[in-house]
Amino acid sequence: MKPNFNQMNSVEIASFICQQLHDIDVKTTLSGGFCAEIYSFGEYTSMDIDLIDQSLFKNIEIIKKMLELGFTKVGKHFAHPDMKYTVEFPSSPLAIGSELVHEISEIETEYGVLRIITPTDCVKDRLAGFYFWNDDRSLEQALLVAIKNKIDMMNIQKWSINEGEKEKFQIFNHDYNIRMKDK
Amino acid sequence: MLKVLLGSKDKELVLQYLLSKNEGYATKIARFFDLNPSQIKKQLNALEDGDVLVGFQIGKARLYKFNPRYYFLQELIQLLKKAKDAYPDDMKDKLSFNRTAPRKHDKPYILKGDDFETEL
Repeated sequence: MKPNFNQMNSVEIASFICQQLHDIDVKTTLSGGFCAEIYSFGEYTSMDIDLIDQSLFKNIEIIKKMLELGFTKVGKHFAHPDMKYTVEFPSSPLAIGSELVHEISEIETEYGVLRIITPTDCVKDRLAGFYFWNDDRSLEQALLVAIKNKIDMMNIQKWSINEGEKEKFQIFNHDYNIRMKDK
Repeated sequence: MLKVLLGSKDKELVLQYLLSKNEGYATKIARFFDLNPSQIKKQLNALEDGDVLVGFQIGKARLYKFNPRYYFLQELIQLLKKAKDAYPDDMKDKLSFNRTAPRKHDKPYILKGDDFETEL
């Protein structure tokens, strides 16, 4: 199937690539900033589609498929002339900080099924940027996702404490509660 | 010591340097071990590609650190520490020696035998 990325939205593009890889027995899951774009319903925009390869030692198959779909490899990324996004396959495992991700959500489009981390894990993933790099933009993304989705705050708190970030979690939780009141 | 596991002696040295000094530039790491900067750069690139390290562009140079989000980081650090314990004393001393106090550019060295890196 030849892709027509010009006519697809961001979720459709990601689902198409995920499905194409799944069809050749390569299991990938969307993580990173692109999840924040999806779960914030476009309030945050990411240009990078980070698909975590959960099939061991399938690098060659991935490259072959991506080239077949018209992508070119530019360093670690794959670029396509018909889309503004770049695609990357960060090394396994699918983890946030020191915690493995076990629960995966699925979004089905007419182009395929996108495997994606849950909104709760997306918040943790964005918070990791705030915790480890003091990146305020990551905190803002975490808040956007948390406000617009049903999340498990206890899970996020427990993970934050395990990562040694109790104080920064309190900053996040404080901002979250204020925004929820204003909602 | 970990060459068999890491696939390269240079990679082990790069990781040991970053473990001891917390951060480093390719040229500085190369000078520290008296190696060719391109050898070190190659290992740094590979480690950054594998998400073990993160790089920050500072002017024309790239500063590397361990990636705190790397899933195996704690285990890797334990392994490197264990390997370092088994290093010869002179190498252990060299890695452990940190001189980070500011120093005027034209001030002569006064410590006899101080041939370690002294610039900030």
